[in-house]
Amino acid sequence: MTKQTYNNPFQITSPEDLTAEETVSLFVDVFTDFRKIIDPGNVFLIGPRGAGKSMMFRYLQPDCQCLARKCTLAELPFLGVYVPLKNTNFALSELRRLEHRHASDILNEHILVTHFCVKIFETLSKPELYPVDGRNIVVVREFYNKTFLPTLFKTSPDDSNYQLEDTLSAADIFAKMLHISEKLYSQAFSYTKKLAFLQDLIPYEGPLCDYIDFLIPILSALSHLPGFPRGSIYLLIDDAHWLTETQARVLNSWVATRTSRKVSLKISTQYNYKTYYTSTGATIDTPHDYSEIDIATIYTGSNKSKYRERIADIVKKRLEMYGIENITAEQFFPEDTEQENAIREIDEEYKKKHDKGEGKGHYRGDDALRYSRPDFIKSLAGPRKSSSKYSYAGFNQLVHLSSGIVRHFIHPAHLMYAEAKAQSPEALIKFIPTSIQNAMVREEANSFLFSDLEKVEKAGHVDAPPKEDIKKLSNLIHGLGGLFRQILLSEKSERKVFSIAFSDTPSENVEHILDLGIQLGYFHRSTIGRKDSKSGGRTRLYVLNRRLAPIWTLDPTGFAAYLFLTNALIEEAMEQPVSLLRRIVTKGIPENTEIVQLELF
Amino acid sequence: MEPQKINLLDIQGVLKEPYDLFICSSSFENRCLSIPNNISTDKIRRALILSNMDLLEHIETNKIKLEDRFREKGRVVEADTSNPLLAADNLRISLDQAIKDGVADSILLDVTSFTHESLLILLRLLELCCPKSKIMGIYANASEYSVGDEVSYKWLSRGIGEVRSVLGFPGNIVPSQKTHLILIVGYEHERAAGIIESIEPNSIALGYGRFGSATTEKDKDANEHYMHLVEDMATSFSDVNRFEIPCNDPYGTRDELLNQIRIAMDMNIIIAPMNNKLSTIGAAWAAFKDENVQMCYAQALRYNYSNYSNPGLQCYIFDF
Repeated sequence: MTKQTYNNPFQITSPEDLTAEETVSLFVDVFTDFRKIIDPGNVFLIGPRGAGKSMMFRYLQPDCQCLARKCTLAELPFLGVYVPLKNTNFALSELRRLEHRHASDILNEHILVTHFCVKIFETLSKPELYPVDGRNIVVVREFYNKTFLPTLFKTSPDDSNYQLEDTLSAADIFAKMLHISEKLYSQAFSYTKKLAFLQDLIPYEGPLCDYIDFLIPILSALSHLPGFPRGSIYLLIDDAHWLTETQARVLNSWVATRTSRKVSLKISTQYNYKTYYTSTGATIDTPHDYSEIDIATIYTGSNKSKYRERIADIVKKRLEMYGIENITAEQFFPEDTEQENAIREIDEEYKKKHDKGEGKGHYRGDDALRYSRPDFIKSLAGPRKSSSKYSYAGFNQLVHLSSGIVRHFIHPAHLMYAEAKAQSPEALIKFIPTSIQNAMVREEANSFLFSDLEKVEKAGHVDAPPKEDIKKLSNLIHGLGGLFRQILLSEKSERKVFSIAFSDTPSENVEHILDLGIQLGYFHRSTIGRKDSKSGGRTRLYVLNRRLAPIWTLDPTGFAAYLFLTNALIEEAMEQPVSLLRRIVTKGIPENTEIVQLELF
Repeated sequence: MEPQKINLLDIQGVLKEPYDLFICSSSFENRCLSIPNNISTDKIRRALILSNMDLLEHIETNKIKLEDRFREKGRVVEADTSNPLLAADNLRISLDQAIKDGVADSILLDVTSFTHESLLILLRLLELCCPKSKIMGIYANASEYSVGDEVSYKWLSRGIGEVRSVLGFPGNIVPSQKTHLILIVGYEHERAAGIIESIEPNSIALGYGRFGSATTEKDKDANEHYMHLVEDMATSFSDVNRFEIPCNDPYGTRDELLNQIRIAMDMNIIIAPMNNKLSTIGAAWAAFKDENVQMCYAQALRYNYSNYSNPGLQCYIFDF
């Protein structure tokens, strides 16, 4: 047997496997961007895989919080308990036997509650967490005898297995509660396992625990124990998209109870969370029941500049942890000097034009920012036909290309480092050569569009998106990419376009395909002011993922504009992208489109 | 004891005794006919033909050929690749009926073209319903997979749908323990990568076919190619081990898996068998020995219906 060891500062490690020290060293504080996560209240934290959700939750756990805040458990403003749902038991095939039966919600709630208890008492049973103090042992013992057991069994059980020995520490008593919870959990699954090959349900005779009558009283009593934080308990529920629809309905019912003064449910999920309905058929709504944070929207919206700072900090911390010190992210991922010098020369020309009163922009640097890089790309696309020579190297471009998702920066960085190391095995890597950076991001873009979409396009299963929808999405992406490319090569006053909005109303079909694109990560969704409304109102903005920029040699940096276009044009892009693009190349950008400046950054 | 490897044409000489029950699966692969066409149907009293009705347009031709082959002895057992309960319920009904009719004392199980999931469900049902039956397994090899494609373009399935535990193999997953994934790797690197991505285990053991143990006559290079693809995918996991299995020997595979299970004691162990059916049987036997192990399956979105495999000339016979 061989053991592979990896030596790469951009290694992607599960936050669950990080120690408190490692987490605090590596974590870049993002909570100013996501304030609602650390404030009391229920939150759905939505984002694609790799957006940093689990890392946030790891940092909010008490071992990390005590270390980061340099305080004791009692001094913390909240107690964060990590409850991962990435557990194959939630997708146990045997549970399908319960689907559409009356018992399904009740047993699934019991399974969830016991799973939560296991994770809660697992956290509390860590000896280093709860201060060793004679009084603490007495109150924890009291909690066990007067709250935990009676809430669970309604009456104190006579069974000697439940009695506490005198020598037990507070951590031991929590561990005992962990074991009891685990026993309850496995008892429920033992029942479920018996259903595997039975078409008729057999009676369940074990205890049933629910949120309101069991978990809330337990958590409420815990928060009053001496040595515990006085604030709320935060249940940090990770990867809720793992839950079945029934389980998601149960969790939503908890959100709807509005018990967030005592217990806040911080729920992370990817975009495929099964439902926002509760067990009773009602929906949970924001802001009444919960707040919603979409990480991708936040970091592709007005907080883009903060995202760059976050990534720079992450790179610096990772390099330092790896022993590569005093090197900034910009130094580690250098830009292509020759290319950037050429672009700076074009910058200067625009500034000189502005000085002569010939500029279009308000400020001296506006035109340079808007046009220099597109002009340079355009020059490569001239008779020499060497657009592919445009280099995507440089920290700044890599940040833009990662499109607001941390892992989309870290993963290519991991590959770049591995390649640099493969080329110079003995050397200490202090920077990534520009050729490697450029090659890797181009490869990643191709893989994202062609391989990843192809995987879905080959679908033939009833639950997979229909093949024709994937074809339409693929056409739309190619159509928009090609259109953005033509705009970049045009003489339009705004040439950097990554987003579209509708000047009329999108059809159901178009909205459906764009929603699929969002679900698969090819678009982000945001909102902007309506073009036709003088009295306010907003409309949807669909932003193409910048990871795709290298496919059409688009400029991922700087301020981007958005394109108002008609539903008919998008329908055409979805059906006949080639003829649309041919028409655009020969006849120019369609007249019924309008490019509007979106933001400057 | 390794399975006996014989030429398909010699089956009747080796399997001289009659069998009460023959169980096979119809498939888009012509390989599903290799064993039925070479056994003596006179020696069979009843035949169960599992058929995934959701793939009917791809399997219908071979399903009809199998029905014709067994005539009045044949019973089609309807299944659906997206609904394991249907396969389980219908197989159970058919087995119970066979027991009731007294045609389940000796069983010849042609494992060749079941999906991994339906084969595992059937193995569990046989263990539950027919503990005293004499069961002989038989597996027809392929001469080539992804026929005619270059090594780097070979493919058996594309995309993955739901990743789920296999009915009857729930294991004993303890929430407070970490997860260890044992993945038996074959050609289907996308499905393998999908399982890794979906489960995000704390540690991984990748099991590869031992050199010289392949049941397929060609494609050693393709195996190596796909091994590297899965390894590349797994590089973002810090704890990855490799081990080897004899893919022509379910007993050897079982023993090697039991070794791997012992190494990862105190963790939740999930096995995803993705190599040939002989190794999947080995995985099932390992899970029978250790009921804490959960088996998992990633449903493929699409198979290489037209060029999945070419039938080989040999088969493997082994005792349960």
